[in-house]
Amino acid sequence: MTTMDMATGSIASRPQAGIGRAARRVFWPSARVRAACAFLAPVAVLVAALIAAPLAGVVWNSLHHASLIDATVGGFAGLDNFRMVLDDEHFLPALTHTLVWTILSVAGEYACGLATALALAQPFRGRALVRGLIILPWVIPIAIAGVNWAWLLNPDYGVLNAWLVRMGVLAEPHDWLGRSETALLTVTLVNVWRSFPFYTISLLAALTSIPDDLYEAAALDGAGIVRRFFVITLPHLRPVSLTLIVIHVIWTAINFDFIWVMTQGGPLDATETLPILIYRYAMQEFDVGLACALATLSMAAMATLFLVQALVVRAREAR
Amino acid sequence: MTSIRLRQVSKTFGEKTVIPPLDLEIAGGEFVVFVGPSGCGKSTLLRLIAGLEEISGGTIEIDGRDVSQAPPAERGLAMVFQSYALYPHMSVAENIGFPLKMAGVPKAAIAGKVAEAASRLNLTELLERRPSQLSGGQRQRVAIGRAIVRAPKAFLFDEPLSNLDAALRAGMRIEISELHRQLGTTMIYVTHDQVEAMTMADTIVVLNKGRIEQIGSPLEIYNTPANLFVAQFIGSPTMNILRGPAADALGAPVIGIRPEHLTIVPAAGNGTADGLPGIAALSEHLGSDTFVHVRLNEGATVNARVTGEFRIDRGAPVMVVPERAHLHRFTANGEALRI
Repeated sequence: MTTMDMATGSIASRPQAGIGRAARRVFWPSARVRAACAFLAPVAVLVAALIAAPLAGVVWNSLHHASLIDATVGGFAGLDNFRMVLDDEHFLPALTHTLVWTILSVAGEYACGLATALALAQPFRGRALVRGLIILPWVIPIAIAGVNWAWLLNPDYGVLNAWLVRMGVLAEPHDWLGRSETALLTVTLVNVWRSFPFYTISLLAALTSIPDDLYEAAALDGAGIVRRFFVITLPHLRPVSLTLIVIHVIWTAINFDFIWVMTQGGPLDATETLPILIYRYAMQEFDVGLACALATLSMAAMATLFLVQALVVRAREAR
Repeated sequence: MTSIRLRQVSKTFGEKTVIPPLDLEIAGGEFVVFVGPSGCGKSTLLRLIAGLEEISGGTIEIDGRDVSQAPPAERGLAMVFQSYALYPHMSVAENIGFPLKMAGVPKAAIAGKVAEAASRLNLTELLERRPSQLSGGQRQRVAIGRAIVRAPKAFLFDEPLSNLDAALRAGMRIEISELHRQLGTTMIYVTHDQVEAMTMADTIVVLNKGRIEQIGSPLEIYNTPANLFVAQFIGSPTMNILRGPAADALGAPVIGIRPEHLTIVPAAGNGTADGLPGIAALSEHLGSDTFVHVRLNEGATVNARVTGEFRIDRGAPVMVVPERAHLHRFTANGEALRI
């Protein structure tokens, strides 16, 4: 059968097949939808098994009594676990520490990231090398960075304390991580040091995509260097900034390893954040229900933040 | 009306000299077009005048005042960029009003001037839109609006029509020329398109490798090119060039003939005193004209323009007859011979 014959045949046979096809369409998805489902199925299975099921498990456990060491503990708890978390004297300080740690970290990271990105956007000799080197803190594993900083900051043999004393900034070595008034700020500073290169790279990519013509047009229009920064640079950085800040607020608020490696939440709970508290509930008090209740609260807060960001972006795009 | 004078202005990037020292005077109210091939330095020269690049030597005067070291904003010039350079997060009205805002003009006055510019450029309906919601032609109008609203001493255009399609380009050419007629402000316009240069300019400055090859009115440049470069750069299709015995027979080492000054006649033997024998190699039919490419027996290929439709078989023997009154004679170095 030639191509022409096939085409004619298919057109001729259409009226008879019409009713059957229409009927089938109601109960059976089209080949296109079936193919899409087939391609999506592996990912759907993975997401269900690795993300949805554990999350559902957390929510389930938050509503039940569960212990890691006592199999007799069980049964529906309703909102008891949530009530206990909110009544816990550790909760409000941990929440406050989490807010301080998150806000200061993200603000410091953004400021350092923006400053370095602006500096690295300027032409100077050796720029490519510096652009490569600046990423180093970010590629060092958190555990190694944390342990190294704990050494550097040690009051007895830490290099930083020795330098600060030698330069006359301090009269005697200070136990940065061991004193409750400086521990949270110190851990936050180290976190800023570790995370700002990610901002640098992202903001630098956005900066280099701004056409020079815009700056030149603004210069001719009478805008000075500061004005050009606010009128051209910042608006261009707004989308990437919003994304950077939202994902880092989430990453920082749920960060466990940095603080655990450096202070384990101490001294005297001065660096105890919500993730540390969750760990304590689960691994030191063995109360899975309580840990899951706090994790659920934390997850709800993060999900709300993400949703708000998505809505803001959508509203802006619609404009 | 603002005059601009360049004295021994040069530009070097490191070791590389992009613009050797040159002099140029632009009279007040003149529409001057810098034209030349890519990389000839025409945009660099414009940017030197704008203050977007620092000059390496010489002086630039605007209305007699030395502005060589003045920042761009203090030169009182407005520039329209090839990319339009509109602020993407601002509305059309904010874009047009931006230079006035920078100059500290009160809001009410800005609104009035923006409305006036918008009405002149047919942008009134689009004032609240963002640049991303506009077509290329509309964006170009906004860029022009931003330039005219501040009543600059002179306008600088850097290949402003390059990103537009052919039909829109023709329309915008007329609009910019009309704008110049209405405002009477000095305009410097950079293009690589000789049609724009010929149709818009009072004065054309032909540039090549950073040097000025010729300055003159469009017809002066077309009719009496100073050298072979200008002769071949201006005019479409390009001027035919003859060398060797064919040129010697016409009285110069190099002869230039524009396609419209060649006549095609059927071959009547092996050449006459006035004609060059050859065979028709290719015909291009444009409707209004036909361009016939003829491979001459002496080797060169020439392009002859015939008005209207003209049919000739490929390979047909023909005689190409140049109009002697319109021959351009050049030395072997390419300089024009004036007789």
